Amino acid sequence: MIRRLRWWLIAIAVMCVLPLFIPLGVTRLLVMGSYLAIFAMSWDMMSGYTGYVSFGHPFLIGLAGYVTAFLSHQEGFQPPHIILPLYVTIPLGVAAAVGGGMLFFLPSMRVRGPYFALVSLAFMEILHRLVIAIRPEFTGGDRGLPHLPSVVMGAVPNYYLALGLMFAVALGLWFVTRSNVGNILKAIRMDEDVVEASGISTYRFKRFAFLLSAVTAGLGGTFYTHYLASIGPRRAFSVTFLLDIIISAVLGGMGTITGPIFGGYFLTFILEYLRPYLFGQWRLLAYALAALFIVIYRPRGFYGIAQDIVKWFRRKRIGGEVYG
Amino acid sequence: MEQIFIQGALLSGLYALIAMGFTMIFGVGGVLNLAHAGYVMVAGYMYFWASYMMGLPIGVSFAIAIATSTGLAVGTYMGWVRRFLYEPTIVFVSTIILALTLEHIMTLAFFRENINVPPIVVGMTQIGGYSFSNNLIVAVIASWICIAIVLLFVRRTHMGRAMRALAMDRRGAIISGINPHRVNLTTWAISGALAGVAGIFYSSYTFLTPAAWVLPLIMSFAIVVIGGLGSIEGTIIAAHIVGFMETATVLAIHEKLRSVPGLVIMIIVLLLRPKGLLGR
Repeated sequence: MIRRLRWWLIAIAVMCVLPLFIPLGVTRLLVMGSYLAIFAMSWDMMSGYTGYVSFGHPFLIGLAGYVTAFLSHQEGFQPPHIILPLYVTIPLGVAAAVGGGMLFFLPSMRVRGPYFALVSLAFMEILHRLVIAIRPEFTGGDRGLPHLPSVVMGAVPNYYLALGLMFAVALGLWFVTRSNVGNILKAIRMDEDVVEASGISTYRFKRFAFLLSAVTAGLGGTFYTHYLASIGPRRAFSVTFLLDIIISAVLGGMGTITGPIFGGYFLTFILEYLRPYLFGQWRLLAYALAALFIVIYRPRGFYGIAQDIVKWFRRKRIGGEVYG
Repeated sequence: MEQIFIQGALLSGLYALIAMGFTMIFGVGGVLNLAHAGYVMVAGYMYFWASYMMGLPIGVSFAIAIATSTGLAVGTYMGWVRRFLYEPTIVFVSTIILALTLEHIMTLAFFRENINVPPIVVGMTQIGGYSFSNNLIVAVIASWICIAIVLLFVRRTHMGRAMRALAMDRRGAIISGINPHRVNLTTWAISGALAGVAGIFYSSYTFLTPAAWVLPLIMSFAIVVIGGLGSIEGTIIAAHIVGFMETATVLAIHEKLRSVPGLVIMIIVLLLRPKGLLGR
């Protein structure tokens, strides 16, 4: 047990003492990275494992964020309403992500392959349009809801909050995916008919993967919304946000859980540190081109690259023993 | 009412052009090209650049725009999609990243402001007491000519038959001597050209902005799913359903809800009849 967990324990220990040595700006970046890592893991749990590519994760995240924002926010309202404390609204937000996902995504998981991706993108777009057009006095319309209460104040407490959430989610998903469930999900990605033919209800396993993914997306979405203290349709339901999630999962390595964590931090840092060297749009272009090249030439992402390196070293060592 | 009719006809024709390219690629190659709407956007910009910034004649500008989008489509296929025909997830992710890349390139070249493209044909025509811009009417006719050409090509020529054969049964088609790479390449080129024509008229219908690939992409998804993925005739019918619904919604209910009815129909179709209206 400890042997399997030792790298996790080392990572947790390093990340816990990190804020003592790094400037506040980097700490804030790490917070953003943690949330992106949570979203990427959520995407990976569903799409990376079962092969049902979801373009609708902003739907889940935005739904959770909007529910908690709507219930807890205090100003800019015309009609009177109840202001609920955060420990009520956050679970409600997560429940909304799960419930909305069950209602909309699960029926569409019966259709396969490209269809699922198309439907999920459609759900995101519909929610986006509805939030803007229907009852803007409740949802804030185009501007969204500003001035939301925070869970904790300051960069360092927020860092520990995001980190704790990230590691809790990561360990949970890691244990699930390293069990037989993970193997079955991977088998569904390879050939769903064969899995079905061996007497396993693929729908039940897809539903399980989806529920985990939705809970993760809901947790990440609610805490992220309160960390940013505002939510708006343009940020919550944009294709850019969707691509950030997918690119970090793919860069890290699909279907690995640990890969997307690395991908999330990597993406946040690379975008920030390119800032002095490349102007606005050039930076985004460089990032898109780099992502394109990695997807084409190294589809297994950084996880695959790391595996190759480890394998190369091992082979060299074993080769040395045999022939030397 | 007449306004709904003629604007709906235009929008439906443009949607049919965009969605036909999309569905042909899926039918023949078995992959979805999410960068397709990106080509539409780039073609619109290239037409604007050639005809208004460079002052070239209209014919040359058309040729430049269509050549650009065709080149992009062929480049995408030859560049990497050819190698990933059996890995749809990678094609998915890489082509949507390509669309984002095109958006960034266009932003760098033409900035983020919305550009109103002057009409291709000026003047108004009176039809039954209502006046319509000649631009709209020309766009409707042009899109129908393109649709007719593609339908004739697919039905009557040898290459068109090869495309249909590949879509029906890949292995059987290969055994009977069809070169799948050549057919695929032709399909991608045709779909790029269609995207180019659609882009020119789409930009003069709305306006040019680098992010203008997301909505056409989502709408062509909806159309293709309603009509049946891979079926050209189904796509044309579905494009008209969606196009007229959208125009009616914009004019009668709310401008910002324009994409919703088509997407709702798509979800209903998916749940009740997943293969679409004319899908196999």
